[in-house]
Amino acid sequence: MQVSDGRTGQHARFDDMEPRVKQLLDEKLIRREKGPYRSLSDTEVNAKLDRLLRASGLSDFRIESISRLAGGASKEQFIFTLVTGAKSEKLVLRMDPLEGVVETCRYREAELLQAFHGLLPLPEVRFIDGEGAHLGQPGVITSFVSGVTKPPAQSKVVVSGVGTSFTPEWRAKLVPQFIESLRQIHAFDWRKASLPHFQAPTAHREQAALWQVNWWTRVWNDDHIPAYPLFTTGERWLREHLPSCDELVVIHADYRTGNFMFDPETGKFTAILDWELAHIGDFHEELAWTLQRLFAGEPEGGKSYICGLMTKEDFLAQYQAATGRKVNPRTLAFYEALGAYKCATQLLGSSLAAAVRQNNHQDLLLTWLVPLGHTFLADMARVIKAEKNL
Amino acid sequence: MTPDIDVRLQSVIKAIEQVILPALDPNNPLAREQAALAIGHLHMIRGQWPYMADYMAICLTDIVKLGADLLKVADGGLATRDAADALNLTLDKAGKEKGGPTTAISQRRDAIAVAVDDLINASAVDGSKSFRDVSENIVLDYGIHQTSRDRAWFKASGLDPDCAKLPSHSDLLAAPSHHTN
Repeated sequence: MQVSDGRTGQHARFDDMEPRVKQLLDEKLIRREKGPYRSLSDTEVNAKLDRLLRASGLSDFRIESISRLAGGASKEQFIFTLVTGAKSEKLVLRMDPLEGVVETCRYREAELLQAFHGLLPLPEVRFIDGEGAHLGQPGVITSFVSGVTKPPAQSKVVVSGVGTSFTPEWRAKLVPQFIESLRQIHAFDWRKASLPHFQAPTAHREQAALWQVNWWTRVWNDDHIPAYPLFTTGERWLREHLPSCDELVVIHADYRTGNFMFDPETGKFTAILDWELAHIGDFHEELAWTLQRLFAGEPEGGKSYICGLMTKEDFLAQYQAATGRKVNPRTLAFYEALGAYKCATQLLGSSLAAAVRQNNHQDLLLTWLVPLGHTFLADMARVIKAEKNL
Repeated sequence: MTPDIDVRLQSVIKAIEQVILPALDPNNPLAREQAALAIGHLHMIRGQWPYMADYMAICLTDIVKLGADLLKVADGGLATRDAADALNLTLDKAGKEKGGPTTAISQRRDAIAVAVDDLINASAVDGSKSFRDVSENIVLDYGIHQTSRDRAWFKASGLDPDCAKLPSHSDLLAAPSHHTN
């Protein structure tokens, strides 16, 4: 592992981040001043959809059965039925709030859904308004995919994917698909794909890590309200421990239970969801994110199951066996610390900021989730301390 | 202060649980979810408010100690020395301000946290290697202690994976603060 020289070295360039990400973060600073945000009524959603569909070339259609989806503090989501002649289709609208847990790009999400079409089970993109010209906020409309994110009998889970557990029978059905889908994502040849809103960190071998550090420290610096010395120390540590990356792959960046759907009868995957944070980077970043303790199910027999599916050791072994890649423990530790820093930033920074300015449709949910940031900060500190012994 | 805050919160919770929530459209999951979250928040606030002043005071005490500990070892170039001087002034000012509403305690805590942040950032520019190493350990130890406290403070959400192991509010505040360990 190469070690950079803190803020004084080459990697101290705080503005060296993926250009599209920088643009999004700049735009957020302007957009959030338009608040406070008020939840949309069905009538307002209908009018927005009507504008987008007409601008997309449809003229003879009806919009029926609009209903808001619960949860989803990151995006405002609705289900509706589009009727064109004798054909009707159930669709999902995902729109950006003024501020939320994360700031992401609907073009990027749509481009990846299209790029992986046919390779993975995914919703299909039907319409997009990447700038919000018609919807008033950036949004994307996809096909509706049936399925569940947790075992049918488990209803008490509040936040999708947090605290979800699976029985051994469910694990036997889901784990092979979980590993295989991840293998396919990381095997994707992004250089040959049409991904115009993505850029790759190819300038030097530490740029993949540097872009992520600069992305999330920028978010913290833009959004935080009270200061937390642990964030600042974490940032300094991350900058001093940037790992090299020899192979750039597509990173889903939120690959975990809650973000895949499966058939409640057969267990077959029906969709991989929530690609909004995806980017090109180091595969260790993905593994480290998936390993986060908060995404683990209830411990069983003294064992912790990542994503409620398998032990950390099994996950890493199966991933390495499936891909032929070798996990570097220090690089993994770096990205575990970064992953915890990211989650803590999204909660104690962005979510709190959105709620304070009342710029989200789910302020109440955001303030409920914000304290989880302390758990992630504690995890970051634990990883940094443990890394010294690797 | 009659009726007291606890009784008023209890009454609001009862109204939402027994009157408002059952009246909501069962086909409006967002409305039902929001009502449930409102009840959850109120339960949590009801458990926290009697301990609020003590909680904030102990957080302030610990960050004052963090600042003082960092000043003892601060070492480096001009940026680090300037940041250390600024932290020293902030600690002096906070030491002269006593009492006040919880918002004032919170503001003193936040001012010190900003000054500590500035020192850590300055150390990344021209702090000595030994100061960077020592300060990392000092802040990590402080942070682990403070995050444990913050997690316990919000344990009623039930979201923390270590929820069952986190102390109650009264036990939390009876425990020694970070610097007396």
